Amino acid sequence: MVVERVCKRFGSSEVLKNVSFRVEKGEVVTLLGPNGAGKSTLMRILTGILLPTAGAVWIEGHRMDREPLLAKRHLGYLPEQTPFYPELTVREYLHFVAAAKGVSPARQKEKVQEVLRRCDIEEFGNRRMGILSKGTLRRVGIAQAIVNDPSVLVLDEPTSGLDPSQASSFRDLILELKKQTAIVLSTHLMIDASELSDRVLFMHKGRILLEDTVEGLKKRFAERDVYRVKIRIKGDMETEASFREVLGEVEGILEVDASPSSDPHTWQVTVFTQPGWNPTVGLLPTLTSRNWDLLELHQKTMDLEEVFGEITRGAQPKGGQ
Amino acid sequence: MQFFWALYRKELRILASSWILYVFFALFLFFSGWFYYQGILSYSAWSIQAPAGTVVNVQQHLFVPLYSNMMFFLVLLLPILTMRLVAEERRQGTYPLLVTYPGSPLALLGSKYLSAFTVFLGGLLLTCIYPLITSLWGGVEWPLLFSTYLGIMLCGAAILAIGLFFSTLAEHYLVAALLTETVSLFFWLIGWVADYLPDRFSRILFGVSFYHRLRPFLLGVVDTDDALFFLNVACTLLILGYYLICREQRS
Repeated sequence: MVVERVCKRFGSSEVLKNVSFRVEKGEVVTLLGPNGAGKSTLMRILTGILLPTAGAVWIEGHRMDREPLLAKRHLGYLPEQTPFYPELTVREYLHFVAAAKGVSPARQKEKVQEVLRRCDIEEFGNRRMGILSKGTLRRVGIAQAIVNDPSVLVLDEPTSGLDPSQASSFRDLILELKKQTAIVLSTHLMIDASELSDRVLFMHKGRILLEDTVEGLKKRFAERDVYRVKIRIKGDMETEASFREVLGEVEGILEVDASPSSDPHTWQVTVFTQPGWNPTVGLLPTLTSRNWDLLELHQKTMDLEEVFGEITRGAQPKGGQ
Repeated sequence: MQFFWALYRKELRILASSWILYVFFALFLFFSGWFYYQGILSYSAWSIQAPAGTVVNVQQHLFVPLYSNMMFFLVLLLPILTMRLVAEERRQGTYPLLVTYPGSPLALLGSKYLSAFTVFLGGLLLTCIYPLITSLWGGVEWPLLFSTYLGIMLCGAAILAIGLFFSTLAEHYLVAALLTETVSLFFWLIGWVADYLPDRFSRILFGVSFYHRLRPFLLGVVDTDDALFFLNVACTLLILGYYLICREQRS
């Protein structure tokens, strides 16, 4: 899928401004951004529900606005709320979708059976959709999206409303589908973005503000390293101020937070350092000189949620675009 | 075309499992049966009162009032067949998903229209039993009945297109039904007002009155002008519906 300088205007307001990216087979690209960033409009344009004011979307070489039928033959879409026909059984619904998406009549039965098995909903095949649980409906939703073997899958908030175990198995299913398709997903859940994405597109005010891998984004925004240190003191009781004073003098340490644990001799200290700081060189000699025991030391990595917060606060990444 | 037939079959399947189909058939057959029964009673009274040796025309005294009443009842009933076609898809959220399937807006509207027309035709076919029963006693002029059925089909096609247009326009299917009902009734009744207006106005109103366009068909006159009027209404409304869908995509 190629998205080329897509712009969208609603009246005088420009909702999307020159959005361009491409997604290859075997890749998951996630759209992230605050509400009003233009993600939903972009999803609607990618699926042909809306046409762009300028620019184009190409699927398998077919331009969505000029050859919509050919482009849509290679598309699978799962909206945020799984729409359904309460009167139809799951099997009837999937047969309808397979036929509507152009699966040849000879292959429809086989394809429906295949997606029922892949999405683990075989037992619900003959049940009416109106009585299915939300988790099962979500699986029916993905089944209808893949029944035509699409080369591009567009998933809007794929795990929304699912319980943790359903969400986890749903993510596994998406990772399995990724092998044969290019996937674009939009989500508010950082766990989905972290676990599924090969690349993340951060959208803000109708533009793609950043495009990178999850790890790349974390690195860009890691302006300082964070270490959690557990220390046991011997002898006199220490105060928070004394930790700040002693550790604050160590080269490379920028900030220190300390709090006692339930045992008054054990302290939990958070140390903010310059990037690339080496604790064995800077920290250990100081602890030894004060006769403090180091019980635990681990580096805390910035999660995507924190990166998201940094970007929406307007922070500039290191080497950012 | 695969999209067209898939959607057509889906519409019929959903209609078959919803209350709409059964309400439509039950009301339509009950009232048309009742009209037939009343028609037979009136026809008997006419026959008894007629001078000896005179044959009372079955088409004029039985079938014209029967099918004219039946069509009036269809004006009230057909909107329930079309009200859900697009409006319900929107309410359920299935409409945007349909748009992502490889089918044109014309195929989408066309298949939905054809499904409603099929049900209407099914109902109409069942009413053939009345002329069949009457034919046991003779006097049925089949060419005239053919013209009658053609007229009803054309008038029904126009009303179904109005219904589909409002279903595309309205957010809720009840609003769609109400709008269709109002517009169709307006064009059915408008001819009655025309009688009381000056000639130049009445000619315009007669020209757009569904009843006055249908009446020649009931009398056995197939006028291409009237046929084209109904086809014109149907095509215009379908094109307007198509335009609405395309405009929505570009909005």
